[in-house]
Amino acid sequence: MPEDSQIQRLYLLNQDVLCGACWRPSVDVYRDREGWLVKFDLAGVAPDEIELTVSGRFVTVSGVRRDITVSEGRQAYSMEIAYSRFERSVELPVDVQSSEIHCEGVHGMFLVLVRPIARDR
Amino acid sequence: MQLPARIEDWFRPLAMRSRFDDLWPDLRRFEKLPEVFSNELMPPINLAESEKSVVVTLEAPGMEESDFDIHVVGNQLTINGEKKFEEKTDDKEFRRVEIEYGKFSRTMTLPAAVRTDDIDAVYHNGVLTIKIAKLEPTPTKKIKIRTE
Repeated sequence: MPEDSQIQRLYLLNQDVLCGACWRPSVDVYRDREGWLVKFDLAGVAPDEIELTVSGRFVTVSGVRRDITVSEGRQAYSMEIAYSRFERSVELPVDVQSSEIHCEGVHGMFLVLVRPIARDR
Repeated sequence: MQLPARIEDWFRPLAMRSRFDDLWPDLRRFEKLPEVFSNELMPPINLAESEKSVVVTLEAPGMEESDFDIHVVGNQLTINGEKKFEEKTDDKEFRRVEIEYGKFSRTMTLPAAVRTDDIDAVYHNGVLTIKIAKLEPTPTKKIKIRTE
C-alpha cells in the first residue's frame, strides 16, 4: 500500500476499482456520544467471514459472499444477488487505528463501533 | 414505497450518488440504471429450481422475521416487507446514509407448479430463503375409446 497519505487515501477510496470484480456494500455512518458507528450492508455474509482492517482514519471490510443455496442439479433462472469478493473502505474524521473497535453482526448488517481514546474526542 | 417527503428527499441524492459510484467500475450494473430513478425499494432476488423444489433467495439485511409478508397463489410468489429506518435519537446523528430503507414488494412467476402446503422460509444473516416443493407431475391417464 502506498505510504504517502494522499496517495493512500486515494487508494483506499478506490479499492473497489482496483480490485476488479468486487462489489461495494452500502454503508451508513452515525455519530453518537461515545464515537462512531459504521453499518455495512452485508447480507448473506457471516460475521466470522468478514475481514476488518483499520489504517489511519480508514475502516475497511472485505471478504467473499458465497451462495449457500448452490447444489447439484439446481438450475438458476434469475441471479440478481452478487456472489463474489467485496471490499469497502470508509474514512472517519478520527484516528481509527488508535481507537477501540467493537464488531457485531445483526441480521446481515455488520456493525463496527469506533470508540476514540479520550484525547481524540 | 411511500416515505415522508422530507426523509425521501434526504435519502435519494445519497442513494443515487452511491449508485453512480458503482456504475463505472462494473459495467454489468448498467442494466440496473432504471432502478436508480425508481421510488421503490428493490431488494435483489435469486430464483433457482431443482428436481423437487423451487428456491427463492431475497437479500434484505437489517430486518426481523415479522417484517416479511409472503404469499403464494398458484405459481405466483409475492414477498412484501419493510426495511425500517432507525429514527434519529437524541444521542445519535447521521453522517452518511447509503443503505436504502422503506417498503418493498416483489412478485415473480415461479418456473413450475408448486405445493402451497409445503413451503419453508428461513431468514439468516440478512437473507430470506424460501424453498417451495414442486407438485408431483400428474401421471398420464390413457383414455380408452369405445365404439357404438
